[in-house]
Amino acid sequence: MSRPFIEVDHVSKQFKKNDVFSNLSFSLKEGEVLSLVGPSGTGKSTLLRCLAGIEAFTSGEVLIEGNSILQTAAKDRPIGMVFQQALLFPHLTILENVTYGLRLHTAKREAVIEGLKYLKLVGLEDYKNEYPHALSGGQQQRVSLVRALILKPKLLLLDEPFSSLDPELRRELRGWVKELLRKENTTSIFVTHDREEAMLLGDRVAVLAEGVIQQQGRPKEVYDHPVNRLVARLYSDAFVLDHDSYCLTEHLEWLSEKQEGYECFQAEWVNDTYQHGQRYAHIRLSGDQGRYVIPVPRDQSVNTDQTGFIGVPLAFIKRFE
Amino acid sequence: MKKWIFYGSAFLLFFIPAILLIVKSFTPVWRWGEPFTFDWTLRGWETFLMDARIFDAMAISLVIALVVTFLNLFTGIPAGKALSHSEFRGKSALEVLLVLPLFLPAMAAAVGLHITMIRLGLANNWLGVAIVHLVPTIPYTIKVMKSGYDRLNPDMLQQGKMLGAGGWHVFRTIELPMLMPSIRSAVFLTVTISMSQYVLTAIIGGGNVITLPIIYYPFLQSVDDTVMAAFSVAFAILPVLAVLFVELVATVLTGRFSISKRGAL
Repeated sequence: MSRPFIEVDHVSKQFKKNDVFSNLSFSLKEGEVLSLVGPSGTGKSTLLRCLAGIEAFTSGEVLIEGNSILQTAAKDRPIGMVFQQALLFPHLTILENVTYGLRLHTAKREAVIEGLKYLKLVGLEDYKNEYPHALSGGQQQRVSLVRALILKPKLLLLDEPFSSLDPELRRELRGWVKELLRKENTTSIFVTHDREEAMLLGDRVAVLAEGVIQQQGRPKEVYDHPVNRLVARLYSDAFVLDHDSYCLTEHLEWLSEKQEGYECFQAEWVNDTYQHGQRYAHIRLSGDQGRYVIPVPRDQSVNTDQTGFIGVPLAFIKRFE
Repeated sequence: MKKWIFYGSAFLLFFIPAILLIVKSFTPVWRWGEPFTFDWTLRGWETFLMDARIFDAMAISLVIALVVTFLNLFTGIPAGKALSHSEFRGKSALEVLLVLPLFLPAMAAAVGLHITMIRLGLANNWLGVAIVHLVPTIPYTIKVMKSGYDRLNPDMLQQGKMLGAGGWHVFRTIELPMLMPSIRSAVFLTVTISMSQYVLTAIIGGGNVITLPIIYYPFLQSVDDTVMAAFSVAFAILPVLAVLFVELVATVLTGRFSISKRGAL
């Protein structure tokens, strides 16, 4: 078997003697996009910064096409990075921003031709002589992305690039980014805390929590078969019965009284919402043991005191593996 | 509205006084009770030019101010960056320590440093004067550069490196242009403070280094407004020259003319 394109091997990072993350290992095939999901503060950004060379790993090895990169300075690594903010250089025009990296090694004429080609790709060629402040947040982030892509990095790191944008813009941009990454066949690691984004962009997802990769696999696989409570809570939509078993919330039912064939949990109906025609009940387990959203039929009525049971069909209870 | 306030106050507080000063340097002294007359006179400027050392003094003032400015930037930029972008133990204490020279009376600093300067062979020459001018200027430069770096996101500089640029290139093409507003403030402060030093210059220069204030201050005792105005106008031109020179150096370094660029900073 040939070696993977990118290999991250047992990397750890300590900060003031505390583990930020430890023994992370994963690999990427050429052109593959890995989504890294997890709650904030679990070292996702730190991992990217270490890969980029802005910070250093405490231990571990990173290979690109079989060559270690950890001894290489940040500026010489074949890695590009897009930060949370667009970080366009405010004193340079859009075109100058895009060609900033190219100009280091290429003559101005060629850099400009290449820069215009890429600006056209993102539909911003009309803005080439504008300064960054004239662009909207989404446009700035697009410029930031092509500024990294134009250098054809072997690995592109995206650190929550949409998090500073409003929801409308995010939706528009992520589809667009996915298409661009595919077109350029760019191997990338995409960090997010939004699982919808993770599913949409990643060929594979890895769930990072409590300093370890809890699970990785195809987006649907991980969603359908979470391996533990953390993944069930962070990435999947699952009702966790106990340490060993769970049930996907799509199978849950709202019961006004206990029934055969169900494991029942007393709960309170908080309210309901509709999405794409489907009605969802927002349920609070009694004793405040968590909230769940479960699909319910549109015509199902609710007791006046709004108490009832979450019914977990016995047939759909699965064990964490 | 904001623009209106800016232009309004600039006119009132800068333009009118400057014009009055220039007019004053060409009109004779007016004493209380005398009728208003509009006579013109070149006496102010003649007195100014009478002293043969005047152009030497202007030149040496300018040279000293520029040397002081570059020493300031050379130390103030890295210091400001460290104070703003790095975390280390005793940072606040160091920050206070660096401002302390401002609380020292100039006389005390001059007398205290005089013997050291003599030992080092720096007394009585212009380089010694330039070095002693660092005492009242460097604290300001560090403060100004620190707040400049506070406004500059460290990731902006990392982004430059991620695009393949080395440290010096990032400094020239990103840091320097983005810090220009702070550098300008620091340069103005430094040049003006350096050119206003009388005590420090007189003691360390030992009478050999004749800067503009050394010639200028004796005239303060006279009540001849016309002569004073002529001196003041000449004095005001020097900082402008110094700032233009710094702009020129910055333009050469960054490879672009930053003052006319529309990019908002």
